[in-house]
Amino acid sequence: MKKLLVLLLLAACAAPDPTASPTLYSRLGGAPVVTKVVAETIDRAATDPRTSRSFKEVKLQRVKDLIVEQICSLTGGGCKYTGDPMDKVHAGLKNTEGEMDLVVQFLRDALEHNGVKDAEKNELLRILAPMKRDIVTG
Amino acid sequence: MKKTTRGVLAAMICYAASASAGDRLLATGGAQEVEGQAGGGVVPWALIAGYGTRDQVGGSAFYTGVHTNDFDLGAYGAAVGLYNRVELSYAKQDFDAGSVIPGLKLKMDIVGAKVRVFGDAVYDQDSPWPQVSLGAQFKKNTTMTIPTAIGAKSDSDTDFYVAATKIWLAGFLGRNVLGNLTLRATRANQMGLLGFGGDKSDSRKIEPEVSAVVLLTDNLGLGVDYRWKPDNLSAFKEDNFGDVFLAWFPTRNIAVTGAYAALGSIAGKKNQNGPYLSFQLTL
Repeated sequence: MKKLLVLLLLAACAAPDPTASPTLYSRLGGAPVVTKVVAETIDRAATDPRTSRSFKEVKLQRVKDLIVEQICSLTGGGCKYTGDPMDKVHAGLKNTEGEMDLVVQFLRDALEHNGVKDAEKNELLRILAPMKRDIVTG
Repeated sequence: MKKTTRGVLAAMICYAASASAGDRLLATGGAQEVEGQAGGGVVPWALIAGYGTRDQVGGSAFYTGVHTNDFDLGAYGAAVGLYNRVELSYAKQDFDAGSVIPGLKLKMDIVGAKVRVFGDAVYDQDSPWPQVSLGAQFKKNTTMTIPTAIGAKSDSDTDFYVAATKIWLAGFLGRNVLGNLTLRATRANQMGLLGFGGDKSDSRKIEPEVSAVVLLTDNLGLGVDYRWKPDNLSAFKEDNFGDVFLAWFPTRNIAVTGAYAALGSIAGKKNQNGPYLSFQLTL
């Protein structure tokens, strides 16, 4: 009997709650959209002469994969971020505030370009914004 | 415009331009309020003018015209933002009061200074703290004959204020929202256009000023300002200022603000309401 109760409780936990609102991750468009947005942002940041400095000698694909993973983990997509903490990743790069703001603008552009609506765009930026303290080290 | 004014404005703009335009995010230097400092329509905010980051110099220049039932106000000037820390500004106001006394024009010079004390209005999304700045406006009215005749005590004075500005990303229905509270110590009559101090009071009072803006898109903000003011002259009752504005940034460097201003009673003329139009260049 006890076992059955536990099983029932577990089943209740696992069953999707029809009243739960969809996660930000799914509203962003899930893995396909987030992957494209991150790739566009990083490619542009690595190419634009105003921001490319910090992306030299960096494996861009690995950076993209980790950022997708991190966004997925922060927006309810169910991933686990396996990269290093943000302060450690950016230590020594001497990123400036200007470089940070430019990359944020690239991200905004990529989100718009991939059809992400303003509400989801702004929610994502709200989550990522405090990372500035760890990213801007210059 | 006097030669010296033109020179100062040109020098400020050239300086901002030569030091290369800043990289801060779109619209984060605000508009230039009617006294020439980064803010809304009639309220200075804690934001530093221009797009300069902590390593850059930015700046902006503006012209604003306000047309009410009986008056016309023109304001123009420029501001330099140093390292997103210090803002220095110079503005002139020309007020056409020909409806009160034919040919009467009132003029004022305003030198502004602002220092960001702490906070980051945009990025501190995990903190309830706003960006906070301390500011001053050194004002000199150069047309004091009539203001003195109606009881104004002096031709110049300095307003001091503390301003707190915060942006909530996705703060309202997914839109970004800006809120601002400014507390100003002032004894100005109609911003100083009718001089400073009067028969009812000749000491500074602390008056609140508030703004709220909803960003409909990243480059279009719908906002309101409300500014409490002293009432120092028994000859002419003074009301608070209010406005509703739409600020549009068609590009990073250009802003156009259209507003409806409700300026209340001015120099004995009641219900001074009307359109407000402002153009701004931002670097």
